[in-house]
Amino acid sequence: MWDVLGIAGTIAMFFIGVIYVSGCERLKRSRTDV
Amino acid sequence: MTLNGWLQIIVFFAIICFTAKPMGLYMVRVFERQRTWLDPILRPIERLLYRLTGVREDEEMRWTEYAVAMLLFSGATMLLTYIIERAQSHLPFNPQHLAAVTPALAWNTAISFTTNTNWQAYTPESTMSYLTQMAGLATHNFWSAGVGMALAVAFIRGIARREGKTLGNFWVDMTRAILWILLPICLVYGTVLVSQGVVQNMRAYDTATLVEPQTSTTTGADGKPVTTTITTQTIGQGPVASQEAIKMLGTNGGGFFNANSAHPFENPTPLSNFLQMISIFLIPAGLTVVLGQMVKSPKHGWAVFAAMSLFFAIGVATTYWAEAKGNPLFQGVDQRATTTQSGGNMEGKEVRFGIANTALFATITTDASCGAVNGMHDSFTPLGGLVPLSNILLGEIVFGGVGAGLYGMLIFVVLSVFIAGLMVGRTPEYLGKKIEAADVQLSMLYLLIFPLIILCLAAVALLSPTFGTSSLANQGPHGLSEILYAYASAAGNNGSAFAGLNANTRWYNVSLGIAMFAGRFLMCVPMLAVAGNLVGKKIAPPSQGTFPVTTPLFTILLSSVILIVGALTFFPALALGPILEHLLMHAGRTF
Repeated sequence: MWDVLGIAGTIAMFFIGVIYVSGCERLKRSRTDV
Repeated sequence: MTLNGWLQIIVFFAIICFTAKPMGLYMVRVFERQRTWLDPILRPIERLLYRLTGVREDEEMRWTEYAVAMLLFSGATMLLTYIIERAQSHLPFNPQHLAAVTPALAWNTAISFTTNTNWQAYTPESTMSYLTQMAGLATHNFWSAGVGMALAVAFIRGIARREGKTLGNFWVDMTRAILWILLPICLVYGTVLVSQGVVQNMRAYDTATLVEPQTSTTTGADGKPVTTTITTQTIGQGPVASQEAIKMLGTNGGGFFNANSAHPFENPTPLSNFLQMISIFLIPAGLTVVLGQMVKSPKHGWAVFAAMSLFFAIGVATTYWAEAKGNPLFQGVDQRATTTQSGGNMEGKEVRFGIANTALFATITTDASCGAVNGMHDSFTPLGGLVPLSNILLGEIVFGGVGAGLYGMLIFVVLSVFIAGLMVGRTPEYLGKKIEAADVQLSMLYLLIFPLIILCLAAVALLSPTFGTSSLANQGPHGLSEILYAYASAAGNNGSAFAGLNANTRWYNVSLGIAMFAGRFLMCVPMLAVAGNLVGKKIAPPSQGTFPVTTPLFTILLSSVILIVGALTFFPALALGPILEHLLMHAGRTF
């Protein structure tokens, strides 16, 4: 059970990381266009 | 303090100054894909690797692609390490028949080595098999250092390139960092360490019969004292030298043994100790030259080098002074350094290294995000311990971790240039590129995540007697320092421990793991975004209003900004920890 949680948690964390990349890109674009 | 001690510190820094330029120039050739003397051997290997993995080396990446590639690589390799740890009892190279690592600890260790932290909430020699040490951990020492260097070079390209869109190719940068820089140096360095007595074998541990049996008394489950007579000692060994070399060079810091570089099999002689200290700063110092060369302003690289050197000098002088002064509570005890004794505060230090080399090692390992130790920081005097803690809290930008130190420093440079622009009322420019709202906001995101992780998680642990403070060996301000240091070390990807904290609990394994992840990836993504924003800008020619980034004034401004940001953020926490402990120590109270 803990193994599944550990692996799923890891994948979720890096997935959040990828979303975070797009968030930073949005912030960059929004501020650059001003 | 002794003349001999100061001489060793001066010689150390002189070597760093002399090696920075050749190391930097070599790295420029590697990352700009110019010919090097290693090409005949390494170029075919590089091509083969690209052919096997489908990487097209001429294909460049935008910052988002670069960041996603870095995240995917880190995530995949982290899972690989987790699986190796969990399955080690079924895998070869486990002569001690060590059991599988528990899930929470395996997860914590996997993320620790993936993020270049190398926080170790376990005793390596009784937890990790040789295969786990080699295939799970030492590989990450190379990968995470390669990733750090790739990120730093990508940031430099962002500054250097004019109206571009891409920052390079992550796979190529990382491969070249490992193949051309880390592996060749480690091969030579590892061999030199073996010559000094660092162990390198695959044998099972030896058992030695003690000449003088030891008697140990502990409290049994029924509360009664239990006396045990110890007649044998297990002597751990293994493939240490190969891991030791990259542990220092890649500023990873995770020891093969629990005692880390205080263990005679990891760091046997004064020469091995000196080489280990040099190797921590070798690449980070060289990267300042890479910066200067790639942005076509070598003086700028040296100005950044000077700011780093200033913090290093203050740090090492303070630690050495505090430790050499000794413990004021030992009244009537001769603590002077003489030919027959080291003097000062020798608690937690190796006699063969003495105070100067322990103070220097502690300063270097926390200036950089290395985390290897040759003495116990927990045993330092309060002010001596304040320095390593402050070094981490300032963001480990004093030469710093391989790559991470330089890009951390460059974020401060962006902020300094912005502040200078505000002071003179002109649009801030950095090497001809206008610093705008997006750059500053993303830089501030980078700078704010760090204290947010440390202070929030440390506060939760400090306010939780059941899972937080119950792991502490010391109470009062010293206990606060232990918890603050743990989260600072995790978020700063340093990995050294202040000791006195049992971190192998579910709360600490998970919360420190999250701190390590956030301290690495949630910080380097906005850094890459700044690079991605800078790379597309025009380079304006210098005008009268341009703030020069090559002068001593710039070095002073940069140092002031680092100090003010660090002091404003962490001074209250430091006041409740080591500073209060120092004052109480002089009032006769210890913890």
